[in-house]
Parts: sequence; C-alpha cells; structure tokens
Amino acid sequence: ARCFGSKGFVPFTDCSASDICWLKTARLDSIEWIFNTGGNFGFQFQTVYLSVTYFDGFLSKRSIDDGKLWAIRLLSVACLSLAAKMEECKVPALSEFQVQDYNFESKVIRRMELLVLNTLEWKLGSITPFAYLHYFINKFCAESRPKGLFSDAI
Amino acid sequence: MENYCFLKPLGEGSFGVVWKALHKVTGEIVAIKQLRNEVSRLTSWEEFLQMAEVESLSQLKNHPNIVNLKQAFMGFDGTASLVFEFMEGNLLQFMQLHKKRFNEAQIRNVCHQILLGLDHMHKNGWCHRDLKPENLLVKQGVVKIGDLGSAKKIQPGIPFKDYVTTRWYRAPEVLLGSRFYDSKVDMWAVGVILAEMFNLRPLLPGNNAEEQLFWICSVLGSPTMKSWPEGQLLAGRVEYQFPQFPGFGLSFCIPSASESAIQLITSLLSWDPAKRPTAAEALKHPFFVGSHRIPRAIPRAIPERHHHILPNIGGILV
Repeated sequence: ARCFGSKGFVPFTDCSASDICWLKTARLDSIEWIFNTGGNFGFQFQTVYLSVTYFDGFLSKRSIDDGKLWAIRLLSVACLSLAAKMEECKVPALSEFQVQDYNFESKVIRRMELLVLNTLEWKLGSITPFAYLHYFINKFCAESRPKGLFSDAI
Repeated sequence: MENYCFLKPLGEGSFGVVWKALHKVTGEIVAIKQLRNEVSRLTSWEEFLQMAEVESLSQLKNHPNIVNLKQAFMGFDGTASLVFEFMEGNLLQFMQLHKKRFNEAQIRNVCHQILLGLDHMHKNGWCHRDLKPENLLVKQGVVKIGDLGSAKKIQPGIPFKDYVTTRWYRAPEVLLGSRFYDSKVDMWAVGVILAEMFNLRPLLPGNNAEEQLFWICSVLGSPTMKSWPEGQLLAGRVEYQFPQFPGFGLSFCIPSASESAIQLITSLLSWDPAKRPTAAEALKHPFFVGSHRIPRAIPRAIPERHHHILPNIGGILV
C-alpha cells in the first residue's frame, strides 16, 4: 500500500537542486504524517490518498521555499482536513490535527484550507484509481468475489 | 580618508573613538572607528590585516546580521581607521529608550537575528568573546553583531590567553580562569542578553568577578559535581569555593518570559559549556518555531510559481 516511496518520484524538474532536495524531504515527511494521522483518525485509504494529490497539486502551482517548514506542515493539515471533509462521514475538529513543532490555531488552518481551495480552483473531486477498483473487481471476478480483494489491491 | 567629512563623535572607549562621517563624493553616511595608536600599535600592513577586527570582518563578509566593514585605512603613525556602515544605535540604547516591556515577538525577532549572525561567525571559526547589548547594533529593525575587536579565531588545542567579555555577560568558566573556553562563552552571553531584554535590566550585575559568580549561583543555584564536573576542578585550581545556593530559578527572575523562553535561557545558561546549545541548535529551539512565525498573509508567503510544473503523477502511482 505504501506507493509513495522516494524511488519512483521525480516530480519537480525545474527548481534549483537544493530546493528540490529540501522539498523532497519535506514532502516525504508530510506524507508520512498524513498516513499516520489519517490512520489514527481511522480514515479510509482513499481519503489519505486524496490529501496527497491535493498536496502535490498545490505544490505544482505555488512554491514553498527552503526553510518554510511551517508552510509545509500547515499545508499537510489543510490537505488532510479537506480530504476528510470530502470523503469521511465523521470529520474531526481542526483543533484535533496535531503536528510536530507547531501549534496551529483553527483559524490559521481555515485560512490555509481556503488558499488550497483557491489554488486548486475548487476542483476537489479528483477521480482517483479507487473509483474504478470496485468496478474492475466486479468485472474480473464476477462469479467468485474473494473477500478482501479490494483491500489487497490497495 | 580625506574623502570623509567627520560629523560628530558617536562614542568613545578604551579602543579609541567612533565618528559619524559623511562620504563627500557619494553622500553616504558611515561610522568610522579610529583606534588609538597605543591600542593598534601597528608597524606593518600585514599586522594591520591580521588585527582581529579586520581579519574577522573580512572573512565574515556580507552576513545580514554582522556589521559590514566597508573600508579600512592605516595611518603612517600606526593608527587604524575602520569604516563601517552607519547604524542607528545599539541594543542597550534601544532598551533604555523603550519605556515599556518588549513583547515576546520583538524579543524573539532580535534574538533570532543575533543567533543567525553568531551561527555564521562560529561556523567560520570565529568566537566574538565580547557580546553585550552595546555591541549589538540596530537599524530599522535589523540587528547586527558589531565590535569584533575581541574576536578570536578558534583553533582547537590552542588556549585563549586573555580574560574577555564584559563581566555581566562573562561565562563562569572564563570567570574561573579557564584557558580552554570556546564559542560557548558567546552562547552564555546570549542567554544573559535575552533575559535582559525581558527584564530591561541586567540579570547578573556583579561588581567584580567574585560577586559575579555569587550572582550566578544565587540565580541558577550552585553547580554540583554532577551538573558541572569541570567547574569543581577550575574552582579548586584558583582556590575558590562556590557559595551554596539552591537558586531562585530563572522563571522567578524573569517573570514575564514564556515557558519556552525560560527553557531556552535555562539551556543557554548551563554551568557546563558542553550543555549549552550551539547557535544552530538554539535556532531550532521551540521558542523560535512555534505558531508565532506564521505570517498573517499566508498567500504572500507561498507565492504562485512562475512556470507551472506538473507533479509527476505516474511517479507517485508507481
């Protein structure tokens, strides 16, 4: 399920070398935080996945330069909370999102959520591979639907 | 030198005089420090270039938090004149003019800048050795470390000879005559200055070396074999006995400081120099990385990219 490893990831091709390096590490750090926090809240896997696509989508349009760790952390929180609002039935309060080193007030998180929404032009209903999984599983294993195949696939 | 018109003296010390001066051609206002020839006693150009203040500043060029040496002149009589950018004042004047307390954000900002400058100095192998509010220059919200006249290149194994720093900011190992002190003496001074910014008065105002140690013991509590083993040795060597105090504690002495500020000052004012953080470590302290550093205008801090780049979704999916 951990498909976000550093190996297959070559995203930001036209930034300076040190910038990429910092951003790469910070991104991996954030993804780890999103996974762990999403897991602790008991979110579905697609919620976590969706937050990462928001995160990457945001960074493709706006740049967070070296050293602005607060911005990376705040972005992680905003992406996870937005994805939760899209996918989950029960959404935790903003004050429940805890990150290392920082103590973000709810109003700061809300301001960041708005910036993410505007940057992504409010297109939050991204279609992820999860949308097709059930279909393909039904198609390929119409007769015998082995239990747990869905979770194996992810 | 004849290009400068001396306007008025800004300050005088044992080293000589600092003048506010005007460059006649460019109109630029500068500060010129003229060293007394008993102080500089230069006989050659090489000696001039090796003067701590000249050598250190030429190696530490262009850091925003270290005062900028523009030019240096040597007179025929062996005097030296150093031309610096003009700064509005120093932190001591700044504190004296400020009637009410600084808020923690202001203190954090000043301290952050001092540590950035100090980190640059230490990483380049220089130890300031005379940090105090008078030597921290201020101009339009920017703080720069100045007066590098006592600075010394740190060379491992080679002891420092002299007794440095103004007493109130002097680290205990220096007070006890250690000859193997290092850049951590600057970190001690930062701790004392930080406390002073909260209280607007000196934290440890001893009148002589012994009284100075007495003050330190009364605030921090006397050092023990466990908290500073080396200290017992140093004290033994000069036949000094620490007065026994439990210590008032820093949170008692600096009541307006937040918990994280007290934590930082506590670590900077560790008896044992090895336990004090380096400038780089201090910059990572929670005092500096809380939610306070989030600017009000988030979108401005995270600008749009000029060339949009596409995240490699294929790469992410694998």
